[in-house]
This record gives sequence, structure tokens and C-alpha cells, in this order.
Amino acid sequence: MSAIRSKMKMRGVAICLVAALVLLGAGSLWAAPQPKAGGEIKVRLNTDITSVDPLASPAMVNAVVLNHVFEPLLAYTTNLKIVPVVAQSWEASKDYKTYTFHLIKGKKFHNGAELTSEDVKFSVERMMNPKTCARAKLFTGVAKVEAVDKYTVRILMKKSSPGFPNSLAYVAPVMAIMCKAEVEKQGGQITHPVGTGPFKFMEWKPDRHVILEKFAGYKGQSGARDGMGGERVAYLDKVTFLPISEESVAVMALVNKEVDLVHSFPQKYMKKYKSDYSKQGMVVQEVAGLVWVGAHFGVTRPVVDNLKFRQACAYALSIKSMAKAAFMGYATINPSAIATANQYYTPYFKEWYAPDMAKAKQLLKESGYKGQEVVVDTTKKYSYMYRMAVAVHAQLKALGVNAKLNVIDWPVLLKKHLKGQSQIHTFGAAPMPDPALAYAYLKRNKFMEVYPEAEKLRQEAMATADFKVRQKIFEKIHKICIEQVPWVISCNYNYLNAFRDYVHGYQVLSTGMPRLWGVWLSK
Amino acid sequence: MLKYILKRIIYLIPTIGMVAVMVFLLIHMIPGDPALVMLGNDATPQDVEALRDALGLNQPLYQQFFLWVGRVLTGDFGVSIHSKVPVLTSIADRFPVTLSLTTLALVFSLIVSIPSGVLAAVKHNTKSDYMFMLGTILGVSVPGFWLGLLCLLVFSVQLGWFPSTGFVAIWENFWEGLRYLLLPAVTLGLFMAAVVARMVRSSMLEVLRLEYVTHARAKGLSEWKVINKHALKNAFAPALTTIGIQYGMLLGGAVITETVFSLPGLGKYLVVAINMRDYPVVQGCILFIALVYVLINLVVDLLYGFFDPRIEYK
Amino acid sequence: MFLKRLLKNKIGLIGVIVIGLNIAVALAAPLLATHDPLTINLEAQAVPPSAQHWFGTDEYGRDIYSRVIYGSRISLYICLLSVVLATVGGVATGAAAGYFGGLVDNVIMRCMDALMSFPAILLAIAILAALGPNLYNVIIALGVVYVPRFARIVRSSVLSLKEKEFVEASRAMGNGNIYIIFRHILPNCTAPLIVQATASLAYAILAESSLGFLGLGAPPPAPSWGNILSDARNFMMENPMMTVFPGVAITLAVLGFNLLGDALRDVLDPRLK
Repeated sequence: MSAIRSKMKMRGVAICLVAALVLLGAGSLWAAPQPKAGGEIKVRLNTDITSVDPLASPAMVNAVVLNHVFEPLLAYTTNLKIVPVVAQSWEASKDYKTYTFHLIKGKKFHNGAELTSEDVKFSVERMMNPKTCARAKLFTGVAKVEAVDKYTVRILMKKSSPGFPNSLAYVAPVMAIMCKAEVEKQGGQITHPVGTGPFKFMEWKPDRHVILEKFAGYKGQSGARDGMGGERVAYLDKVTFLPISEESVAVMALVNKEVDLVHSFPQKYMKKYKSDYSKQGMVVQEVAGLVWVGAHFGVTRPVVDNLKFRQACAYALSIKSMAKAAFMGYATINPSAIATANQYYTPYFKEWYAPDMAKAKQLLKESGYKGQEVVVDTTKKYSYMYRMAVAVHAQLKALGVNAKLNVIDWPVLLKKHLKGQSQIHTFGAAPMPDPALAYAYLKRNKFMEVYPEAEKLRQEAMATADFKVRQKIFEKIHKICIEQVPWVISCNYNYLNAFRDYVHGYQVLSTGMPRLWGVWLSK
Repeated sequence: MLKYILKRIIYLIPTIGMVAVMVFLLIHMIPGDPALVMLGNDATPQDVEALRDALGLNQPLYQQFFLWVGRVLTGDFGVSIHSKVPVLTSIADRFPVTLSLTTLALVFSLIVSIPSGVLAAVKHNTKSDYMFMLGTILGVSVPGFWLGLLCLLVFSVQLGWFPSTGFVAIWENFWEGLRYLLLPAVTLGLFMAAVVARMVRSSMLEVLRLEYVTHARAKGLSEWKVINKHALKNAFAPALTTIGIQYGMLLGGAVITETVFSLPGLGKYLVVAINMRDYPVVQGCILFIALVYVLINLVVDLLYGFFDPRIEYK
Repeated sequence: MFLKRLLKNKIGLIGVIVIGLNIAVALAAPLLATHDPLTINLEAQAVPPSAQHWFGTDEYGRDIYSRVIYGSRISLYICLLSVVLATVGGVATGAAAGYFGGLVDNVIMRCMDALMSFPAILLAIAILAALGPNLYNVIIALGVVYVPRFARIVRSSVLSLKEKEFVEASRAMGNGNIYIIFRHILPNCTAPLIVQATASLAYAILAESSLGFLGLGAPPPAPSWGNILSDARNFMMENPMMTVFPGVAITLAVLGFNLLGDALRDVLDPRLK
């Protein structure tokens, strides 16, 4: 079956343009104001952090805070390229079995100690240990870490691992380089984190606040800020993170100036923002994120194991209305697992079915579907998954499928997701800068078992670092997805960040991580 | 006296034992898997199984129970699966918030209920008595958390008199802390105020009918003295039981109030833990609140004897 | 006779009218509602009150007025069934404890003490945390929570009645325990049971809405009043009126049962006046 072209406007580009215009406009309006040092910013956290140990939990919220305290060896730029942070430079051997890092000389921890290769060795070994790191499996390929000299570290891999730098640049948890002496002093249980970041940790009162302060002795990269790369200049004296779990309370607090920045502004308040808040000194920035959301088919489950049935669904489900239902339109339509912001993204990944009910009904008839019940699992924990499931359910009903919406607890849904036990479920997948890892999601719904060619391609991508080769492989996998319909991916949702107009230099990132260096206040 | 107190405490032991069994069993019927929640949405089944093993969730239930009870007895409520922080430490961090909220709610409700209840009894069957009855019946009918939401909308959003988020502890800065606690305490205490007020009114009515009060009146004592010295003390004993029960209810209600007002107390901690399926935290919080509740009832029982001379310590 | 006295009592009359209206609304919900309470309309998300949507819509575009109307069904259903459950459970355990005494009494009453060692709403939260939120689990949770109150009432009545002559006489005639309990003992404690049941109905509505608010009630999208308020809360700044209406509905329903409860207490149990 040939791929069907559907014309979709590239909303991502439009958004970037708008953001650029906003920034330009803002710049000329204030006549390129000089950054002003000092002041305190109050930032809303979606929930309280669970730990001050950067490796203890993969919770995004921990990374939001600790990303300012700790620094990794490598990190992603805006386009998900990998650049050094704690290292001055780094190189891989030809066979991708040895990585060498040359550290920045004279870089200081918050306790005054200089960062050396011993700290890096200790930290990477901490990342490899499942007892100390929530994502230790990212480091199972590491054979050995060597401190070559005071400023050089070598990581030896068990086999060729071109994708390994992604592990060091992982978003959450932030793969922090920690002070060896300090961790040992605190007996392994981190209570007062000491990093090299532009802000130092002061205090965490559970459910109340986390306070960071400017680290005067910071030394890091030079060059323009780009994603997590480039220079990290702290203008703010103090950063206070306030956990506010209720969206409406967060909006209320921003309106009342009890917080200055809400890094995940709810979509449902955008109407009110456009009509009222935008005139009251509030600014919202929007950018396409990396989380990809859609409906997954459990390809070994009854009814949906039928390819014609899945194709019928692909024709019946409008990915646009799925996105509209889930995110009120604040999403970037993208039927692939590769985010529009990803460097691997090409226009080919826009290819998908154009909604066509007649064809859908025809295919449904051909599939031999006899009105069996098809369960659409979802959860209320993430309301966008629920809203998308509602849209999927309604469209399947319109197709003539005896669909049933089944709202279950998040842990139960997750279990079914991991084991491929759901006929259809809606899901938002974690940001995966490396598409080879993103396509590993197809192992969960058992598609890779049913269709091993796709897994073979994925393994090929894992085994090479050649950008062009990988890009071609990913396009092939997307082609298979179009033909075989293991899922119907709808979009990447957009991050909406809201702040008061006296906050300058803030820029939304596609990882959804707020970045407070380079940010200053004019109040 | 001491013997009586001891006897009461010993009497509590089987109850507390039952409470422990119930708390333990309830939590283990939870659907869903904490290991999964902990690892986040890109965990592999192998990781999850490994973590279940590490957390001891794969042991037989009875072994888990005895281990748990043994540890609880030594003051070890376990460690949060999610944050790795000892549960008792977290409870100690948050209970002061809940305690200050419920105490303020108690103070508010007593300040409102006792005088109004006495007044209504004295002015029995007058217009003000009817207004009082109407007020109290509304008080027990309005859902406190809804009232809280409305207060938040009016006083925080529209008028900006009170903060809508954040928290300052009342023991760190009393007046600033009061701004954060006043609305929650009033909405939490309203139900109790209404219940206690009706209780005070009806027991006052009973006492006022009794002979010795009539006698005291006949002796020419001022009405104020009669009420204060004779009637109120005797009317207070039955009201005390109500206050005890209601204070326990405040602990329960605090769970909802803290959620409405985003207060960093034990109740909010519990609700978050339930959503996270954090077994040790849920167990610890519920057990702790139940123990506090049992303790309050014990104190009330003992105080009851103090206020009601008819009860002898046997 | 009893009904006449109740209706003569003004408070009771108001209570009966309020409850009657509530029941009528619940029964006639399909006639009164202007929209389907579950139909999602993504074209009309979060619109303020208007001629088409009297109370506005929520974030899924569902009509709030219709949801509040249908909500009376769910709330009444939950609270009636849970109180029935509590009454049946309480009567059974209380009667057994009082009648058989000894070990049976001890075990049952220690269990009841343990249940009473939790603030009511906390126990319900704990049970629901365990069983998972679902309509029948809410009923079970609230039922279990209120069992001890009924059990205590029944037990004390049984204790005071079982040594009475007419019970002894019945036993001498060879009647079985069950017969004696149902024929002679239970009919004598209906008055306090009815008073307790009415009060429990009021509590149950409040508790149900609180649980729904915490996300532990009947699972969404069921339009229970607690759920509507919980949705409304995330929407407070956008449509404040969404918060007002379900709360008024809850208050009215609870008020009705409280008024009736007061009146019943006056009529059935003059000592408590």
C-alpha cells in the first residue's frame, strides 16, 4: 500500500517564527535592555520534588530543580545535538568503544573543591549502579571508567556504542557529575546536594519550597546559550521553587504575582490569557515539545491483531481531531515518533493517512470484523490521554466499531502498556532524543515480535552513528508504521510557559525543562 | 486515678492492634504496582520485577506484616518508596501543619459555638433561637471544602486579602502564618462549630431545667453567674464528648481542606501518596492519624470524668 | 399517625419537601436535563452560562446544568445504598453481639472500636485507596464506615431487651434465636435506627462529594456532584460559576436530610428534644 500524503501545515515552524518575532518585538520595545543582576524569581513546580539526589528518581520535576544545581558531562542543544557541559571537549574512538573527555580546568563545586577526573569517574560509576541510579540500565554497556589524568576521563564500552552519548545527556534524571568527597561525607544518602551548576542548593522544605542561590564561583562553557549547552550565566540571586499541584491555583498565583513563572501553563487557560491576562502583564511562550502522544494497538490482542482492522482505524481516526481534543489545539501534528524539533526530523515523517470514512468502512468490512467489543484503555491521571481516548472512542464508534472506553488507574494502564495487553490505549511517551530508542516503544505492544524486520532496522540504527544512514533507517521504520499501523501517533504537545513581563531572557525549550540561567528581572 | 488511666490505656491495646491489622491489609489490596509508578513510563518489565524484589513486595503477606509491625513498634514507619525519606520524618515535617490547622479550627469553632449555644438556650424559643437553629443546620449541611473553594475565589482571587498558595508556618511568624491558615481553619471548623453549638444548646436546656439551677436563681444569684458557674460547667461535660469526636473528624476533614488550600500538611501528603501508590507513606499516615485520634478520645474520656462529677474513677 | 405528626412538624415538612424535590429531580433527570451529561462537545469547551448552557460547560464541553441534574441520581443512589448497607450490617452485627454476648460480643465490638478509631472520612479514603475508586467501592466504603454506629444502637437495645419477660416467654415457647431477634427485639429499636439512618444519609452525601472531590469517588466521567466540583476546581479562574452550582445542589440535599432527621428525632425520641 502506498503512503498517503496529507497536507498539514508545519505548525512547529510557525511557532518558532512567532516566538522569534515576539522576542524581536520585545527587544526593540525595550531598546535591547542590558541584563540586570539580582533579585529573586519564584517558579511553580507541578508537584514537590521527591529527592535532592539527582540520580534517585526519573521524575521530571526533580530534574527541573537539580538541573540548575548539577551539570552533566554532555547535554542537548535546542535541536537535540549533543554538546559538552562539564567537559571542555570530547571524542569517540572510530569503533565507538572508547570515549575520552577533557574536563574544564578550574571548575569548582559549590563547596569550593575543584572538579577532577576522580569526581567524574565516581559519578559515572554511580550512574552505572542500579542502587544509586534510577536509569542505571542506560549504562549497562559501560565496561570501565578510567581517570587518565587530573582532567581527562576515559569511558570504555563493552561493545561498539555509537548511541552512548545520549545516556550522558539524558534529560531526567540529569546525569549529574557530583563531588565524590561530598557524597562520601553524606554517607550515600544525599541531603544537601553539591554540584557545579550556576545555582547552589540552599534548602528544601517538603511541600513548601526549594531554594537555590547564585553560585558566585561558577566557571563553565562560553558561547551562546543553546538548549542546555553554551554559557550559563546566573543573573538571579535567588530561585525559589514552589510546588503547586493544582493548575487553577498556579494560574491564580501567577495572576497575583505570587509566582513569576509557570513552566507548564494549562491549555484551558489560554482563552482567558488571550482575553485578559495578556493585557495584565503576563506573557505566554509556546514551543513544540518532544512528548509524542497517540493511540497504541496491542498487535497480538484479538481484533486489533488484524492488519485490515488497524488500517481501517487509521483511516477513521483523524489525528488532528485527536490533538484538538487532547490539547485544545496547542499541539504540533506529527504522526511519527520523531519530534519536529529533532535533528533527525524530515518532511517524510509527516506522511500519514488522510481521514476517509468510506475507505475505513470498506477496510473494516474486508477485515471480517463482526462487532466484537474493542476496549480503549486510558487513564484520568494524565487528562490529555483521557481526552484523546474520548476522541478515539467517538471516531471508532462512528466507524461502526463496538468500542468501549475503559478508564483505569495509571499504574494499571502502564502495566498493560508495558506488556502490550491493551487492545487500544492512548499514551504519551517520554521524550526520546534518539529515535532508535523512541522506536523501542514498538517492542512493548509486541509489534517488533510480529514484524521482526522493523526491529532489525532499529538494531542497525543502534549500531551506527552516521547521521545520514540513521535518518534513512528511521524513514524506513516510519514507512513500516504507515503500512502496518502499530499505532496512530497524533502529535507532539506544545509547551506553554507563562511568566510576568518583568522576567527577561527566558526561553521555552522543546524538552520542557525550564532554564533559569541567562534569565533576569526588571522590577 | 493513675490506676484508672492505666486501665484505660491497657484497654486500648487490642483496639490499636486491630487498627494496625486493618491499616496493613487495606493498603495491600491496592490495585497497581508501586514499582511501576516509581520507575516511570519507560521502565521495562525486568526493571519492575527487580525493584519489586528489592522492596520486599514479593514476600508473602504475613511476613511483610510481622516485619512491618516489628518496625512500627520501634518507631520505624518505613521509608517512602518514592522519595526514600523515612515516613516518620515526613510525618514529623507535616504534622505540625495539620495540628496548627485543626487546633485553629477547634479554637474557632469553640469561640463561635459555646457562646452562641448558651445564648440560644437562654433565649429558648425566641426569634434568635430560631435563627440560631437555622444557622447551625446550614452549618452542618454546607460541604466545607466547597465553602473553601468559594472563599478562595472571593477572598484570594477577587479581593486579594489572603494568599492563594505557599505557606508560612504559624510557629515561625504568627501573624503571617495566620493569613495562610485563617480561611482553611474557618471552613474546616464550621461543621464542628454547628454541631457543638447544638450540643451546648441542648445540654444547657437540660441543665437549666434542673432543680439546683432554679434554686440558685431563687437565691438571687445574677443570671450571668447562674449560667457561668452552675449551668455551663455541667452542660460542658456532654458537650466535651462531642468536641472529642469532632476533633477527630477535623483530622479527617483536614485531608480535604489541605488539598483545597494546598497546605503542606499530613492530609495532602496522604492524598498525594495514595495517587503515587506509595505503600509505606499511606500506611504510616493513616496509622498515625488513627493513633492520634485514639489518643484524643482517651484524653476526652479522662477529661469527661473531671468535668462530670457523677463519674467516679474506679 | 407517626407520619401525621411528622408532617405537622414544620421543619420535618420542609425536609420532606426538599428531599421529595431531590428525588423527583433524580427520577425525572432525562426530562429536566437539556443535554446528555456525558456527551463531549469539543466545540464548546468551557463556555460561560448562556441560554443554551444554563450553567455553562466544563473543559470537555459537557453541559454542567445537565450534569448537576444527573448528579442527583448518582449521589442519591450512593448514599441510599450505602446507608442500607450500613443498616443491614449494623443490625446483623449489633444484634449478634448483644444477643449472644461473651466472645462473640467481644470480638464484634473490638472490631467496631477499631473501625471507630478512624475519623470517618479517613477510613473511607483508606478503603477506597485500597479497593480503587468505583461506584460500588464508594458504597462499600461508606457502608463499612457507618456500620459501627448502627451496631452500637442495636446492641444496646438488645442488651436491655433480652432479659425482658416477653423475650424469656418467647424463648420458653421454643422459638429460635433468629425468630426472637426479628420478632421481638428489632421492632423495638426502629425509632433510634430511623433517626440514625436519616442522619447518616446526610453524612453520606457530604462524604460522597468529598471523596469525589479527592478523585476517590465514582470514576469519571460519571456526573457525581463531587466529580463536578473536582473538575470545576481546575477551572475556577475561568468559570467560577461552575463551582457554585454543584455545591448548592449538595447543600440542598444534605439540608433536606438534616431537617428531616431533626424532625424525626423530635417526633420519635422526645427525650432528645
